[in-house]
Amino acid sequence: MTENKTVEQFTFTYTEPETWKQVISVEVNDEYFATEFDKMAKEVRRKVERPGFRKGKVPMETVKKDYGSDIRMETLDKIVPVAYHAAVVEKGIYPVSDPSLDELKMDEGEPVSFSLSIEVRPEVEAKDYMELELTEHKAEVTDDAMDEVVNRMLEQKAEFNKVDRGAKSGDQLKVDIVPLNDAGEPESEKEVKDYGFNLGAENNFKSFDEGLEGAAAGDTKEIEATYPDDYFTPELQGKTVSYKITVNEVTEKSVPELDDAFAATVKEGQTALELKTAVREDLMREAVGKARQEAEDEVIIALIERNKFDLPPSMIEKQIDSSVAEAKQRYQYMGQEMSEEDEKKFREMSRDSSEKSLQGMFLLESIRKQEEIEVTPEKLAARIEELAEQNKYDLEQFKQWAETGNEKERIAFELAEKLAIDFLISKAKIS
Amino acid sequence: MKDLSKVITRPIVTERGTILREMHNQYYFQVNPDANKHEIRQAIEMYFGVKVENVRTMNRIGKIKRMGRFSGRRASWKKAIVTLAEGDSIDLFDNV
Repeated sequence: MTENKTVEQFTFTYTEPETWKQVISVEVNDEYFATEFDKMAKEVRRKVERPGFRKGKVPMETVKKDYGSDIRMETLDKIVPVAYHAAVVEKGIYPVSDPSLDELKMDEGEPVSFSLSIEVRPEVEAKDYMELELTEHKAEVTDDAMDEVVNRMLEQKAEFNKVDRGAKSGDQLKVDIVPLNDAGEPESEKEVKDYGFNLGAENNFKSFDEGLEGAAAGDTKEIEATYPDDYFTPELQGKTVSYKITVNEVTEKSVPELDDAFAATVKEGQTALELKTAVREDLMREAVGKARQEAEDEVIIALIERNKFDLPPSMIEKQIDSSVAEAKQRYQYMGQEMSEEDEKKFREMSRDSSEKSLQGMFLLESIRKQEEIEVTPEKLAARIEELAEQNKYDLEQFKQWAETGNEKERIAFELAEKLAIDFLISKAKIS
Repeated sequence: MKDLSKVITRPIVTERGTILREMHNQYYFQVNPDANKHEIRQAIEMYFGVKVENVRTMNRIGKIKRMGRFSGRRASWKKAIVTLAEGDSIDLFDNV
């Protein structure tokens, strides 16, 4: 696609080598360039110093002769943004990257010309989006899943009571541990006092479990431990170390029963049945969210499958940048730092998903336009209320928060995508 | 002073010189202090291929300069203002 058009000082020729790339060839009008050149020369003249002349009084011809090529370059610097802006406005281009300047021709006596290539928002028109073939995503909560959560709650409230007997699996022992060196003497600087050791727990050394079984308070044992080859401390990998372990105390774990009294400790006035229902509801909400997410992903993938198009590389990079920034923040919350290598890996990993989410965004936007799916203020207000309820926020506070910054636009945008996806799901063939 | 090649030392480009050139077709030169007006005329006509209307000269006495307890003098020199015939010009000044 090529078209010619002149905006006063420039002659533009547009070409579109890719759906996401525009090349604007610009020819600068001679007269326009000359006037701009003179303006620039005047400016330069004001600053030029030369023996025999007062500052700024050097003859114009001399200035042009001496600084001609510099002035031409500066003039060009000034003209390029003007041309770029004029072209963007004239053609109605939405650039997503900064322009790059190529094919510069600036020979004396010939019109100045150059070309600007920019990445643009691709024009996407989603087609064939009715009757997408999707699978059904059901949200389910099994009894096992619910029991697991309840048991975990009970475990957390478990109490340890001191007992006067030999230890058995499930007990917690308070022990002092000291490693022995090759001569069999304790390395007291490495001693750990009053360590809480859970007998029979999953990641224990077998020799520890066996050695401490039946031990009572006051007992001292010598136990050997062989570290696995992939142990996280490199110095200990594959080594066998002897430890002297003194048992200070044996405590028995007692897990509370699930009854109304326990339920009330979680939330006042709650019965055991209510607790179970609440847990089930929580899990259900989670499952519904997950099912929805899966369904959304499937819609997007099905859409992309039917509408393949390329994205401007800079746009993908920007998307990856923002997900990297998010990941970095998550790392920071955990008090860690992302190494350069991790970042590189992460970039590669998120390339595909970034591309898909951008493509999805464009396709959904096109569908919204075609189907006239709009976010009305009423719909937006309803959505804000819904969000507040889902997340158990105070409605008034949440409303206020939504007014800050561009939160409202973000919510509106998400709602728009949601509505489009709802529409697609309602028209899809679900198996 | 017979050797014409030694007459003209250098052209002088200054603000005043530029004005004179533009208004009266006059050119400034630094010349050998031993050269007289005839020689200057001959040298300019020979080397630049122009017709000289008039030559005016002036001797510039070198300034006295001190460096601590030593005092000295800069070289004295001669300035020539050469008026060319109408229509003639010397390119040299544009290219300096």
